[in-house]
Amino acid sequence: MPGWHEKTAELQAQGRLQLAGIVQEQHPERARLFMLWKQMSWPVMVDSLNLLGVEVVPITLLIDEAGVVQAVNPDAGALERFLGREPAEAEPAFTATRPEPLKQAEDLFHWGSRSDLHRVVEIYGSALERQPDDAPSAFRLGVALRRRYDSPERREGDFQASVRAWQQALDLNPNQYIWRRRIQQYGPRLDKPYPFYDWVPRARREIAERGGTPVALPVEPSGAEFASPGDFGTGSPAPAGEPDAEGRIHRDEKGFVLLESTVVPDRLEPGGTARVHLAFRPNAEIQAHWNNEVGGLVVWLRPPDGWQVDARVHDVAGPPAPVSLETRRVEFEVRVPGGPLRDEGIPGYALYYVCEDVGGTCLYRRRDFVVPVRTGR
Amino acid sequence: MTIRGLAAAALLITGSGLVPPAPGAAALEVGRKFPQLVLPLLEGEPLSVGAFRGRKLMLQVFASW
Repeated sequence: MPGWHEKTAELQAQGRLQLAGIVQEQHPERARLFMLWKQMSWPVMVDSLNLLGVEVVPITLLIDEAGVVQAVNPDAGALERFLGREPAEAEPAFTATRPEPLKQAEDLFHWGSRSDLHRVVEIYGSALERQPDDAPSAFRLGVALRRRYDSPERREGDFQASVRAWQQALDLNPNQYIWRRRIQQYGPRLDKPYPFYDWVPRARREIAERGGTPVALPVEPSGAEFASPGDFGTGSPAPAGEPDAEGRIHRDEKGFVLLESTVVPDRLEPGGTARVHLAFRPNAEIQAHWNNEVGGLVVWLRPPDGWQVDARVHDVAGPPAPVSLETRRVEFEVRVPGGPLRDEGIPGYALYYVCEDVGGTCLYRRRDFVVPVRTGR
Repeated sequence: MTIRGLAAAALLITGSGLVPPAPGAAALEVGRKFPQLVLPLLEGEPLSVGAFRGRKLMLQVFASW
């Protein structure tokens, strides 16, 4: 795409050609950062719901003055011919219609408030109940769930439910690579065709170096979105140095910290690999917050026999402030053994320093958990 | 036309009561009119590809990854 941008700069300056884009991403602000980085200023529309129905990107279209598609993925010669051609007679636009509730869902997703996402989820969920093979609605349900997960309207399990909906869509149409990418984006390294957002740090640095201000990203790319494709890893490290092997740290019985886990993909087959996302949030209902004066969050994993994790211990440092409220995220990859599997979980625990505004106490606490993993199809 | 102008044109389309079609990949065949789909710009305002009528357009469908 930047290649076309450079080749057509003169044509744009002469007014002979207009450039525009439609981006197929869950987090469109990242495309804004990309455009700023590449110094491309033409208008770009956002089609997170994949209403256009394209199955791959990138696609370049030449559209004439009458709105007729004249070429798909043209070469330089086709562009020359296009520029010299008169507008053509057209076949009518594709005018498939869809039920009013789905139209309403699209409008609310694009133009509504964050709280309208509940209604969007409801509409797509109902559409799927009525017609379980409605693959586009399954994909769009996933998009809306993930959008809600990234907002203050989040409901527990939204991320996992989005992955499940995307998988349902992909099972119905395995050739839809835009949908497949949405799962791979958050999934394990083995499934990745490329790192998705590894360009972000470089873009920020280069924009700042030329005196600009990078676009702020409301949703920072996660570890999965930076990870390079590749092997599972070097295997599970030996469990030496377990931080609380005897379980002597007091448990977090009051629920100072809430945990949400998401496994991508949603189901694992024998020998398969998944990426697990853990999100730890201070419990706002009791005004809990992290205490950063002593240490960060430590997670220790105890995978079942025969299961491998790429690292058993994970350490997340807090920001350079005495207290904070941020969500702390841990990601790891798990490989399940070959042969018959049953639904199982990955046990582990987290250790953290927390304070409660109400009682004014600060404590060191342990939270045990089991990450549920679904297996089979 | 500026982005603001294009957005205004798109608003006219949405305001006219026209329901944008759900096109599907078939909409992108050579010889067909591009669907009248109104989408938000990265900056949030609505825009339709139809707002570029009267101009030769190169449309990139892409992702930044």
